[in-house]
Amino acid sequence: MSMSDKPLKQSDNGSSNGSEIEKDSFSDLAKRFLWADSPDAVGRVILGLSVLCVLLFVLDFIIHRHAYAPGEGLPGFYAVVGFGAFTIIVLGATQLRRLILRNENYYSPYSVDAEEYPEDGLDKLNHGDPDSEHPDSNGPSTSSMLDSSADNNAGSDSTSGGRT
Amino acid sequence: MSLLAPPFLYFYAALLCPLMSSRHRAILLLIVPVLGLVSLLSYSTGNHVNVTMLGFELTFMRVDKLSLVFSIIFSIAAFLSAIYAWHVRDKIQQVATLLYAGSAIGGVLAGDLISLFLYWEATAIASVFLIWARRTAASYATGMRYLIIQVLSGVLLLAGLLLHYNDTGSIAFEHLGLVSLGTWLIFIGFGIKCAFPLMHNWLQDSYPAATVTGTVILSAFTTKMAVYALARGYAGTEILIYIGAIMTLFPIFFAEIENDLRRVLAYSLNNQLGFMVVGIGIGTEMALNGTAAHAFCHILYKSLLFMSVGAVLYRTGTSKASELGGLYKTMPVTMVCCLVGAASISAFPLFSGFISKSLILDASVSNGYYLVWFALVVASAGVLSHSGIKIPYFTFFAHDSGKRPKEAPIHMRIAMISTAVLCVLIGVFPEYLYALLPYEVDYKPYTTSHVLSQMQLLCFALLAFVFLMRKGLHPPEVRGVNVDSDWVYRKLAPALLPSIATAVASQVTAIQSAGKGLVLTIYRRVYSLARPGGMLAVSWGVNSMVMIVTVMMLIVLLFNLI
Repeated sequence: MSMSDKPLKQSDNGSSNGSEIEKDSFSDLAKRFLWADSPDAVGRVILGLSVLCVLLFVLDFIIHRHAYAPGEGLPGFYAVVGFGAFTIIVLGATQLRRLILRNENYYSPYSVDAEEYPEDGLDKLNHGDPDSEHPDSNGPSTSSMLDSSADNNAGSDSTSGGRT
Repeated sequence: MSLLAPPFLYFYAALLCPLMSSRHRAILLLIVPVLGLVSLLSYSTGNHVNVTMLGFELTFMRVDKLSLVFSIIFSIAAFLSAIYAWHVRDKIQQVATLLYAGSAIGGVLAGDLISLFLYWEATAIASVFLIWARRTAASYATGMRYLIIQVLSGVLLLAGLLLHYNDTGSIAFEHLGLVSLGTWLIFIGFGIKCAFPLMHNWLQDSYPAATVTGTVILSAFTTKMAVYALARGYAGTEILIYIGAIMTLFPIFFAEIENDLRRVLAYSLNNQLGFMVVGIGIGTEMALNGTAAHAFCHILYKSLLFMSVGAVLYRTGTSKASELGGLYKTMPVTMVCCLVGAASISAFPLFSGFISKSLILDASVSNGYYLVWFALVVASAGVLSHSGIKIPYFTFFAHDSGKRPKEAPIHMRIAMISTAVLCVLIGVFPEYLYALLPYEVDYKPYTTSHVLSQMQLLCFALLAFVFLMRKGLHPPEVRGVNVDSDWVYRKLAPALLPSIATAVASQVTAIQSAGKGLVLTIYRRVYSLARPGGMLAVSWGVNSMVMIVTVMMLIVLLFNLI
C-alpha cells in the first residue's frame, strides 16, 4: 500500500536513511516493513498491484458477476468506477482546498487547531527510552500530573500560537 | 433486579468512582461494562423497569433485538475504551466516561420518549467533559459549542415530544414517522446528533479537541444512539435515503484535504453514518439489519482507528499528517492495528466492513434506488481514499518525519489488538454478528460476484492512488484549517453581530424618538383645544347649543328613515 512520494516532497534525509545501528533496534515486526523505504521494493509492490488489477479485470470476462443495477454487469464496471471515483474525489478535493484552506490560526483562540496538545496528557517517549508508562511508578510519570491537573487548570499556558 | 439494570450500574459506579484510588478507578471502568453486559443479557425480551412518574409510565428497559444489538456493542465499546484509557488518572474523565456510556446504553434501552429525552441530555452533558478534560482555553470554547448544539438537539426532542403527546396522548417511543410538527421536531433533534448535512459541524469541531482517550469514547456513542433512535422512530422514511446518500459523499472531500487525522476520522465517521441512514430510510428488514450490522462493525473499526491515531498523538504530541510519517519503524504494532482498521472501514473481504456495508448496498439496489446505490459505491471508493489510505499512509509511511516515538503503551496495544481481532473475526465469521441482528438474515456476503466486484473497486482505487501520487496530483499534507459550513456561526455571525446590533440599536432609537414626537404632537393639539380660551374651553351660548342638538337629532332621524 505504501510507496515512495519522491516526486512530491523532498524527504529530509537527516534520520530517514539512519544508520544500521538504528535499524537493528527496530522490532522484528517493524523490520518486515523496512522495504517501504526502498524505492525498488515499492516499485515491485506497485507492479504487483498492477498485475492484480489486470487479473481482476480479466476475471470479469471469465466469471459471470451477478448484476442488479443497470450497467453493473458491464465488464470492468467496478474497475472504472473505482479508478474514476477515486481520481475525481482527489482532484475535486484539491480544488475544494483552494477555496477553503485558511491559516491554522483562523479560528484561534477558540479552536484547538493552532494549539499544542497539553503535555500532561501525553507520554512523549522516544524509541529506546525506558518505560515510564507504569502509572504507579515513581519518578516523572505523567499520571501524577494528571491527577493534580484535575484541580489546578494546567491548560492556560499551553495555548501557544500557531506556527506555520 | 430493576435496580441492577445496565445503565444504573454505570451510574452507581460513577458515584463510587471519585471515592476510589486511581488504580481501583481504572479497574472499576473495566468491570462495569462486563457487569452491565451480564445484567443486560439476563433480561428477557420485553419491557422492564417500569416507573410511574408524574402520571407517566416510563419504561427504562425495553429489551428487543434492535435495542439489544446496540446496547451490546455499546458495552463492548465501553470495555475496550476502558482498556485503552487504563493510564488515565483524571477523575473527571473517568466519571464522565461512566455517565456517558451509561446514558448512551440507557438511551438505547429507553422505551418511551421521556426517558429517552433524559438520557439524550445526559449523554450531552456527560460527554462534554471529555472535551473539557483537555483543559485548554480552546477546548473550553469548543466544548461550549458542542454543548450548545447537543442541548439544542435535546430541546428539539423535548418540544417535539410535548407536541406529539398533545396530538396522540402517547409518550411511547415506537415508529413515529414524519406526520406532524411534533414528529418533525423530534426528527430534527435526532438529525442533529446523527450529524445530518449542515447539522454536522459539531462532530468535526469537537472530536479532535477531546483528550486522547476521550475521542475514542466519544466516537462510539452519541451518533450511534441517534442512528438507533432514527431506526426505531423513522424506519422507512424516504427522505432519509437522500439525506444519507449526501452524508456519504460530501465529507469525503473534506476528509481528503484535512490535515488533523482525528478530524479526518470525524469526517469519515460522518460518511459512515450516511450508510446507516440510507439503510434506515429504505426501512426493509434487510436494510435495517444492514444499519444495525454496520453500526456494530463501525463502532469497532472507528474506535480502532481513533485508538491508533490517539496512540500516535500520545507519543508524539501531534495528530497532524503534515508532521507525521515513517512511524512504522518504531510503532509497528500500532501501524498494523491501524491497517486492520483501515481495511475494515474500506470493506476489504475478510474484514468487518465488508459483511455489513454490503447489506445496505444490496438493500438499496434491490429496492430500485439505483442512483443512491451508485452514490454508495462511489462513497466506498472515497472511504478507501481517506480512511483506508490517508490515515495509515501519512502517519506510518510517506516521507520520514524523523520522529522515532516509542511504541504505544502496553494497555493501548492490548486494546488495539483486541479491537483488531474483533474486526477480523466478524469479517471472517459474519454469521455470529448476523445472529444478533434485529431480523432474520438471509444473506451470503462471500459470493464470487461480491468478492470480485469489491476487490475490483478497491484495487483500482488503490491504483488510482498510486497513479495520482506518481503524477504529483495527490494533495500534499499542509498545515491549515479548512472552513466548513460552521464558518457561518463561527465567523460570519460574530462578524456581522456588531453591525447588526448597531443597526438594531439605531432603529430602536429612531422608533423611540418618533414615538416621543407623536405623543408631543397629540399633547399640543389637545392643549390648543382645551387651553384657556381654546375651542373646547369657551362657554357656548344657548342658541348654538340648541342648534347643535337639533342637527344631531335630525341626523339620527335620517338614519332611522333609511
